[in-house]
Amino acid sequence: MAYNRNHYNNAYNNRMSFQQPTPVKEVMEERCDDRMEPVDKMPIAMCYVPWQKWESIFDVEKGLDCGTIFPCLYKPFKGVRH
Amino acid sequence: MKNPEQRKLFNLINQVSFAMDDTRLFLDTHPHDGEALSYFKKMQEVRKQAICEYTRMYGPIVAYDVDNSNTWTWSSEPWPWEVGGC
Repeated sequence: MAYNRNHYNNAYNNRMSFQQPTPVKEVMEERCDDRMEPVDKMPIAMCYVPWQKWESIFDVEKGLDCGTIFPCLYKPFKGVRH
Repeated sequence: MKNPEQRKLFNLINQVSFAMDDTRLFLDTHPHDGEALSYFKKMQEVRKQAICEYTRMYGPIVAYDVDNSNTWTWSSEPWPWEVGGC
């Protein structure tokens, strides 16, 4: 966790300082890591979206029926509480 | 679209096209993801084959592919989306 937090803070500071722009590929790879940060440790007034990973996807028929090929994004809202 | 085989092939094209659209969105933010890239490539091939077969057997899906050597057929035949029972 400590590693992850430092890693996150460094990444955040790097991006905010505007001193040395980070190459796009490096930013991309850095975003792909497994860091998990408690939300109360993050800067306020920002939006955060967990990083999606490729997973075992639906077959094409089910994908079109469900509106997504990714099981983790399949969120059928039925309009009722269960 | 009365012919069930035609319907089946048309459905496959729609399904594969959607899978490619969804993969494309993923690749926009994950341009180095090998699994996503290879899935996209695989679907690209499936889609290409299916459209080729559909066009050959049942006519063009888009007007760009109309074979107009004698007459303009696009407006005289049912359009792919105009087939009923959707």
